[in-house]
Formats: sequence, C-alpha cells, structure tokens
Amino acid sequence: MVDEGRAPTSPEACAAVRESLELLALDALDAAEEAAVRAHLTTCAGCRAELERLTDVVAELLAEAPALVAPADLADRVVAATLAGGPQAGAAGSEPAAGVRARGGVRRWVVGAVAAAALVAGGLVGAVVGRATSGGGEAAGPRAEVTYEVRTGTLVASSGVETGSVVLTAGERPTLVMRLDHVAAGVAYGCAVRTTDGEVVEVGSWTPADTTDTTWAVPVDDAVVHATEVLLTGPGGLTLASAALT
Amino acid sequence: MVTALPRSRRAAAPARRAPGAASDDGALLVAIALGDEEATRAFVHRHGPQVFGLAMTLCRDRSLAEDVAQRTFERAWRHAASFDGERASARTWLLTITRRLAIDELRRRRPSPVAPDDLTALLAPSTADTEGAGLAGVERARVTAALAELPDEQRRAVVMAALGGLSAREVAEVEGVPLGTAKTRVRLGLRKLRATLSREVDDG
Repeated sequence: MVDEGRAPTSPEACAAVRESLELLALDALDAAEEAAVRAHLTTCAGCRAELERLTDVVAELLAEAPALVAPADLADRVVAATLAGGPQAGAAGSEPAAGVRARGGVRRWVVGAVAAAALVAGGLVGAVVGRATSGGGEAAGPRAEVTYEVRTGTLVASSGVETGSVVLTAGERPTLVMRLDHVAAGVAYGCAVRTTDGEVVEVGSWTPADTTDTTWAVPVDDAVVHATEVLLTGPGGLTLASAALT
Repeated sequence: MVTALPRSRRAAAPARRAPGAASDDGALLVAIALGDEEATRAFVHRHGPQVFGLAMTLCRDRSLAEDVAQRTFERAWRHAASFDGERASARTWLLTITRRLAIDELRRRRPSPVAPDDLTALLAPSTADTEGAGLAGVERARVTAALAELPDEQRRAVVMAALGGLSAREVAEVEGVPLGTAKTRVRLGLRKLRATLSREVDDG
C-alpha cells in the first residue's frame, strides 16, 4: 500500500502503488485502499498509464461473459430515454449528444437539436457549428468554436420515391452514413459515390442481418469526401437509388 | 454489386470493411451524435446481447440487468466523446461501462458474494449468436485461451473479480483464504493474463 511518508511520486511510492494496480483495475480494493492509490495517481502519470493498460486487459476479459438475447424493447427504451433527456428535446445547442474522439485529443460534437434533426431528416445544406472541448471524459473546459462540414442528401429511387438519407461528414474522420427506410435482410447492398470529376468510386457493401438493420456507417477517404452524389446499388450492380449531396 | 458500375475504381481499404466490423462503430457513433434514432437502434441491436449478457452475469437479476443494459447505452450515447476507437473496440468500451454500472449497483445491494461454482460455469462457450459474433468470437477465444493458462486458483480469483464483481475481501471470503492470499492471486492472475495477451499481439 501507499506509504504517505514517501514523496508522492518517488520510485518507492510507485513501487508500492503498482502492487495494488491490478486490484484497482478490477475494482477489488476496499474503499480506503482505493482512495490511497488514487491519491498517488493524481500526481503520477506513469502509474496512471500502467493502470490504463491493466484496465484494458480487464475490458478484454469482459467478453468472456455469455451473450444473451437482450430484451426486445431495449432499443425502444434507449431511444425513448435519449429523446427525453437529449438534445432533441431541448433548445438548439443546449447539450452535447455524443461525439467521437479524434486523434490527439477529445473532440465533442455539440450539435443543436434543430440542426441535427433537420440534417438527418431533411437533407439541409451546410455545416454544423460545434464546440470542441479539450481534455478527457466529461470534464468541462474552455471551448473553442469548430466548424464541422456535414453534407446530406435524400436517397431517391428511379421511381421518384424517397428511400432514405445519407450524411457525409468531413474533418479528421470523414464518414459516410446511409440510412434506408426499408431493407431486405440478406441482400447485398452496395454504395458508391460520384466524385467532382464525374468518376464513380466504390465505397463498400453491406448485407443487413434483418429488416431493422437499416443504418450503415463507414469511414471514407479523401477522394470520397468531395463526392457530389451517392449511389445505392443492389445485387448485380443495379442502381436502386441516388442522392445528390448538397 | 458496385463493381458493375461504370468507371468504378476501388476506394481506400478501410471503406471496404464489413458493416459488422468493430471499426464501423466509431462511424456509427457519429450518426448517433447527429441525432439519428435509427443509428441508435442499430447500435443497441448490434451490442445488446453482449451488454445484457454481462449485466446478467454480474447482477443475476433480470430486472436489474435490464436496467443496467439500458443505462449502459444511455451513457454511451451521452459520453461517446470518451470513446477512443484506436484503444478499444466499441464493444469493449460498452462492456466496461456495463461492469461499472453493475458493480455500483451490486455493492449497494448485494448481501453476500456470488458462489464460485456459478462463476466457473460462466466460462462455458456461449450459444447465443449476435451480429459481429465472428469478430467477437475471435477476441473471446484469445482471452479464453489466456485464462486457461493461469493456475486454477488465480483464474478463479480473476474471474470472480472481473465477472462476479467481487472485491479481494469477498474473494478471500468465498475461497476461505487470508485477504493477502486473495490479493496475490488476483494480482498475479491479471499480470499473467496481460503478459499472455500482449505476447499474442506481438506474435500476431
């Protein structure tokens, strides 16, 4: 255990703490012991890094638990809870919904309710103004305005019927998200884009496991980021629908 | 398929990954961040069985496990900013959240430690099939093999702590050994597990 008589980050203090890090990673310490170890961690980056590595091992271990059939209404409950407490229910820009961690730091998306709903549902033009938060987790901190380029489109079949929507984000992790109103399970869908010079670039394909598997998201490269049109194809390369990106 | 499209050329390799691959989860979280309800449903659909399975493993109470599973996804939705796709898969990240929530609940209400025989049985292979089970299965096989290399008492101690949510003191109580012995078993077990898993990564 930690000897409070030692300097907080002395080699001796670190050696003592390291005897407890495996137990801390497994939440197996008593409260008093844990408090002493955590006190050391606040001043020692080396031991924090070691704890992080051990925590990763524990995380891998969790996959040992058997998968079970989840409650049928789990997704409904999650969606209901997020709608009730999330940005969609509040004023635009009030609370962050979620975000992605970019290389080199944490970037939290702050997408306003109106903007988010409109972008996905309606295919509006433009960019989403967000705020980036430095630091980790939920920590509040100084925020700087960052603009995320988001282009969207509505997938329209050759019959003229709207069949879904696409969202293409730029930035450090360009991503294409395609959502279809209806899918057939087991059918291989393909996605391609038309670039600014008219060339068609294959993005990938996916096969929905069942009819609820309607959303597909995939990281894309720079050639795709500037696409003008997204194409949805079915078996045999038949173009099912297309969406102009604006 | 898209290969039949005129003037097609192949995009970058990452874009070719299957939709069920863990690498797509970060992108799916972007859609969730944009308020896409269907993306949220897809995410829950993809990871629900594993999350619920771990919640049941830890809680042994269906009602409590359902609550923990739901709160896991709510927390993931709210705090996706802490997700680092380069460090861990979304599945691993979710399971860590699940364990944290379950242990907090258990330590508030559990009267006594879980019997070790129940936990040992948990190491039996799962028959449940989930989306992305291929990838998860490979990850699981690695960990199962690494666990099998541990001396029995260390494996039991690590499993009881990780999947049973037991503290070292509770492990000592269940095993009928001094607290110091229980701590040593947990510590050595996790150390060996880490060494085995990292050796596999280096070899791979």
